[in-house]
Amino acid sequence: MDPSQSGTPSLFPVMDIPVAYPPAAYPPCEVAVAAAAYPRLLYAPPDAAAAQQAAAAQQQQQLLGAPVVCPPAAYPPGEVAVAAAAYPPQLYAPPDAAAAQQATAAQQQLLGAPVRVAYAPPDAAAVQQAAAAQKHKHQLQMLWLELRREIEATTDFKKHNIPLSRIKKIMRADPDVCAITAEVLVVFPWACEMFILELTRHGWAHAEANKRRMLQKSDIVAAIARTDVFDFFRDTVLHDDAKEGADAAPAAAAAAEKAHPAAGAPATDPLANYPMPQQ
Amino acid sequence: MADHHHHHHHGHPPDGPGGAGDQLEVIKEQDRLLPIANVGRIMKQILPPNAKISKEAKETMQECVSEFISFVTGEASDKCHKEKRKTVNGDDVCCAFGALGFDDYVDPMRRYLHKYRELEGDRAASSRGGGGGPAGAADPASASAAAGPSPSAASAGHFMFGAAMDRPDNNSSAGARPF
Repeated sequence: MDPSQSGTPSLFPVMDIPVAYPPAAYPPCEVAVAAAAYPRLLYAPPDAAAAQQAAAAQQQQQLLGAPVVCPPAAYPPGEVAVAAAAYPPQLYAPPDAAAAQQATAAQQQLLGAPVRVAYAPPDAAAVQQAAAAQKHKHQLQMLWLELRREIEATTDFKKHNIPLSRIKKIMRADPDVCAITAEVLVVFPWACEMFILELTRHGWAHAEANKRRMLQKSDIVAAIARTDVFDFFRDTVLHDDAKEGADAAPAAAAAAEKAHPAAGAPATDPLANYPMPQQ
Repeated sequence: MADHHHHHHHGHPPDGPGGAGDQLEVIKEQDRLLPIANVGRIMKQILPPNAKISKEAKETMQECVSEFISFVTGEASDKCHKEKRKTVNGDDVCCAFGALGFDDYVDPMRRYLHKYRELEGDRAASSRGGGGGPAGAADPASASAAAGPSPSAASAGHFMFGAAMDRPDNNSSAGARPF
């Protein structure tokens, strides 16, 4: 009989709480606390929500409670001041400013690099021109060497690429010229050939520079303007270029210029020394 | 101008029909320049195979070569005047090349002149059958070539000049080419 009597008082509070007494007999605060104490009461929707809210509130209070209490106890005002003072010097340190200036200078130097790159095109053009000039000079040297060999190998003085009769007539055109020996006529064909080859090569360099495959009059005129040794007939060619129709003008001008300082050599001398067959 | 034209006309009368002004003008113009075919052929020697030459370029080169001949001849003639000589020889022409800036021409032309004088001297000696005369060609004091050979050096030089003048084959062949 004792065990059954001792069991009854423990079952009594459980049977009272879940049914009707909480909402009617106990105030809201007590009900909330009771619900939180007994997880099994979660089976009731309103009770479950209230219990969850109470649990969350307790957790929040526990989290917020720590900072509210710890600072005044753990960190005295002196330590806080020291910590605060530690930041300003670092933020305004001169070494950082110097480093920033150095970085700026480095960037400026980097910006300067493109300026050097901008000079590349004219340098490339200059290099190309220098290469072309060397090629041109080399070809002229080969030309002279070949001509020397050809002249050395010549044994027939009557064979020329240019007729002697024309050279005679050109020489006769100048009344101031002295009598000319036969050996002079032998030398001139080779000299004329060298002259034609040299002037043509200079003109061709100008045509190549302009991406052309045809040698034109403008190329020869440009070669004359650029080469000092051809200075003596710039006026002739330019004059002829100015007056395209007047071919005799340059010759007349040349004759007039040569006639001024003329001493008047005997006209019979050139004729007597020109062995021209009479037909 | 008229005097120059008269002298030019008197120098070598035109071979074409007389009285034709245009033909005379054409002949005169052609005589003043080297043949365009010869000039063009020489120009091609220095150019790449696929290069072309315009006719105007050839004509300009003709003008330049004639001016070159007159320029060098005038310079050589001036040298003769200064030295009181009346005949231009090969050495005068070689000096003119150097004086006018054509330095590359001097050495080859001197070598060619030297060879020509040697061969001409040998030819003259063999044709005459006598002893070999001086290798260098002396300037004859007189323009006449009628003088006969004599043992003196001056006469030998004159003899060589006379021999050079008496080469009608070369002249006739040269004269026959352009016509």
